[in-house]
Amino acid sequence: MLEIKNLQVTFQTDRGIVKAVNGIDLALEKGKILGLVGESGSGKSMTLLSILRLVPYPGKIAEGEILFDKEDILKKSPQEMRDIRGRDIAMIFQDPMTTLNPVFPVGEQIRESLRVHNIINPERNGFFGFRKDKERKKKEHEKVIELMEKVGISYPKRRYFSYPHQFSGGMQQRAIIAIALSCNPKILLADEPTTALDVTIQAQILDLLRQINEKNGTSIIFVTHDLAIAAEFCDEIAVMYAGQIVEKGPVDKVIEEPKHPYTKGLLKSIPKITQKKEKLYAIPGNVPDLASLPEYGCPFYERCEEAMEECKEVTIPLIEVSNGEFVRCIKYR
Amino acid sequence: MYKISLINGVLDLENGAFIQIKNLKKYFIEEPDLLTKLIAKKKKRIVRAVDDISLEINKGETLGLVGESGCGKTTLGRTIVKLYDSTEGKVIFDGEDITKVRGEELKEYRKKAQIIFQNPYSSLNPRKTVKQILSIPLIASGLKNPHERQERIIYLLDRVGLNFRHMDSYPHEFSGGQRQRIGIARSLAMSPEFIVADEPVSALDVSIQAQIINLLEELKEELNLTYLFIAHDLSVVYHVSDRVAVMYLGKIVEIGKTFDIFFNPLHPYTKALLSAIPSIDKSKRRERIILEGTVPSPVNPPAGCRFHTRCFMKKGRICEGLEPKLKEVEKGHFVACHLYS
Amino acid sequence: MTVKNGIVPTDYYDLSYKKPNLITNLLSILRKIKKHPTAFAGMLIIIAYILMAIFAPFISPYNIKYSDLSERLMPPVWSGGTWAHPLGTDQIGRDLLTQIIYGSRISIMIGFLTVLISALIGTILGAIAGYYKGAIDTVLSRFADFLLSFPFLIFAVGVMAVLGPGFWNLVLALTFKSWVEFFRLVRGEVMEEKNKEYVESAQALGRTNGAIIISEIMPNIFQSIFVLSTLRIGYMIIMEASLSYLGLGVPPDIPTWGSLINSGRNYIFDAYWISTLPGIALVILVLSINLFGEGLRDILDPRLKVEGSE
Repeated sequence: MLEIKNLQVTFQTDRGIVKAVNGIDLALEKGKILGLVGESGSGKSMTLLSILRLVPYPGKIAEGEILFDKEDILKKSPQEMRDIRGRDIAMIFQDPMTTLNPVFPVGEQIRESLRVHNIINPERNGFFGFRKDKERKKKEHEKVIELMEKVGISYPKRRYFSYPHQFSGGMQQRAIIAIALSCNPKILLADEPTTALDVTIQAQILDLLRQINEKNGTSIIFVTHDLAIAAEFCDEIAVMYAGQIVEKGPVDKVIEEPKHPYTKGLLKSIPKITQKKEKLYAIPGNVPDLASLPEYGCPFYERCEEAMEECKEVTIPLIEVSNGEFVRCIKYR
Repeated sequence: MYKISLINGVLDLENGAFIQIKNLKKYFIEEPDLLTKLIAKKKKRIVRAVDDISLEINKGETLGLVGESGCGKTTLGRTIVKLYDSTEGKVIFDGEDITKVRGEELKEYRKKAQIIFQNPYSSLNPRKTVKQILSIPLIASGLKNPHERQERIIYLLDRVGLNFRHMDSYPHEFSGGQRQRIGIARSLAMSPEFIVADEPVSALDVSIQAQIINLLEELKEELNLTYLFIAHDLSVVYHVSDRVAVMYLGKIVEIGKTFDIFFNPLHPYTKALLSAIPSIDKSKRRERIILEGTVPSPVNPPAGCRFHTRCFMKKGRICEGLEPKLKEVEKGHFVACHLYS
Repeated sequence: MTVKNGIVPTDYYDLSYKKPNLITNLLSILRKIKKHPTAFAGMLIIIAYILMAIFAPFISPYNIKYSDLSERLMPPVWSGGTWAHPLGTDQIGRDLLTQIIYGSRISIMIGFLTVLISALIGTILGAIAGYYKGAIDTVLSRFADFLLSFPFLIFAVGVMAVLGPGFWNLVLALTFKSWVEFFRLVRGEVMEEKNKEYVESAQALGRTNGAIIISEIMPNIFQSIFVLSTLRIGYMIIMEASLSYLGLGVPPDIPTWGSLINSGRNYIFDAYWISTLPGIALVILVLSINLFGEGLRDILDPRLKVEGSE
């Protein structure tokens, strides 16, 4: 359904060119949930933004192809992009408070998505369009109520005219999901949608997203830094580090049999609730500085416990280890 | 060594746990100014952030404090280190009632009880160098000689794993994890005995979290510290705490040894919290309990048991009318719930 | 390096390592200004004007009091005049170039002085109001609102009419209302910074409120105050010129651009230069100040802002 080939996103800074995304290959199948896992600076958010071509200045998509239904998104015209955004591919962001406009009622914001994409009554309104307009508004209003119910906002009729600050964090996020779903998109891009929420609300939202995926068949790309959520929620995971994918594969395989040292390190360093308490393993060193990455060699070299001299010099591509499993590590050459 | 007994359903802390908190309340009163009161007829609001909390912390232990946003855990932590003045109640530190101290005595207390903040990006003054930031507590504790100060700063930086050359850098030159280390160094500067760690790792990347958690544990061992560890990430709390207290809407609903809380949760809220934790290990995943509704506002908490509006194990009318008190159900494990009374 | 018992051998710390301080900060800002064409141009012009004002007696071709009635109303060089009076003369034969050069003194002095005083008053009151809030904030804010409801020029005119002409009266009239701008800015910023955790940390370490305001908060809002100051200087210079134009500024024997413009009012069609040229000098200075101030804001703002978490 969606294929990303060799995506590169660069930023021009006064310290040189920063490669936020450095050659990513991803494939999303219809109806599946793909998880993008990584820490800050890994490039996961930038990847999502590239799909909708929303990379902020001074960044730009330097290279690559993004094939949606076999057509390259990067070659589309602005008008075609506007049609895709929100309608075929929708996105939800991390902080609900800043995503919703504080001065408009929530219901109106959901309706705006319907309005902009002409979902209801797509015929053009002629000069005598007043009556058609009113009818259309009414239908849109009803659809919004329907959507609000679908995402689990209670008392939707009353809440239609409430403002975002009158909603709790969880409800705001649901409203945003409603906006995203309004045009029945084929793909939903979710950038850490639960990070700002409490753990019980997080469970509710993940539940909701799972229902959407099962009932509507919407494919989802889910970006997170929390491996545990990815493990429970996604069908497939791609682990990112310093702008590259270092491991990719079905979720069970990656979690239970991690191959890349970074993935292994991450899994070991997460505190787990087990019967016996052990000292936490910590990956040494710091999250990489993208402005000073080496030209060749593995970006994880400095922090890798299994590193060899060769790792510094040789640049390794993603290697297919078995069916659907990929690693970027010299050990699997 | 320390006895906890129950008198009238309230924890009675008689004989010297290291820190005793008795019936502590912290209310925030929002009073609009005269003009607004007259014209807009706005009334005053009372936010009951911490509403009658009694607990104790033993020397050398880490007490974990969990709860969701709005439960008052942050307020509790800050009230204990006297960043806020308490509205009612007592805080007894090492035998001394420090609830109302001022001036010199307050200064003395501050040397003993410190706090580490959550946000490594805003807890350091962006206009000061690391050296200046660390000098402040050192000067406050009387280290006048600049040479001695510098030596102590170098020592502190080394202890938290930073190179002394970083002394002259500004906060924005560091990563989140490094800034948090500076924050930890700052809290250690006056050689405290007790540290409130307010979500010290929540804003950090996963791989750095582990480093900071390990650092905090090492420091605790080496310097014989006592921690109040506030967090919303239950896995982290499980790992670092000896005992855990669960808060909801300004009250403690359950408190006990870490193992008991996590493997034998008694209060319905605790059960719901624990069930919501995503887990990597499939076998450890619990049946998800989805709570209805949202957290009520601390301005107008529900009558009776505060959790009754969302409780899935509600006993009946008693939950709506009578507020349950903390009761010892098994040794060292207390719950405030009518199901156990 | 071995650390024993918390003592580090002091010679280990290499003191020749360059420490950043105010000078290096200023130098790096200067470097950035150089890259910003309008700000740089503005800065050069401002410096030129300041030098002109300081060295007025040395660079003006004539004595300030010199007037030769036989040379009155002579046009500037490009309109048929001579190089003896490159910018022409006014109606009593005073050389215009000299007048303009000396006039810059008052304008610059008034501009800087009034802004300095307003900034001082506004900052102190704003910091108190923003930090302590409560009753004192209400009182000060209402007072500020009250002052704001007077239109500036009319207010200044009123004050000057009552007090009469004079340098310090002028300063008083101009600062009386303009401190409010700084008050609001500082109050807002202090309230915002106060919520940040580094302030809480200072409180937890036992610092007094005064120390926190001065030592912790002030350095963080300093640049906003500075930017506002540069922008207000231009405004103050215009205000002074307006008041002088109305005859309500400094006493008439001190040359200012405003009074020059005023004195040339009646000759606007025949001897346009008497009003126009001081006006142009004024516009250039104010424009340069504004360009510099805005460029400074662009430079200081994102660069020194603390980076977000991602």
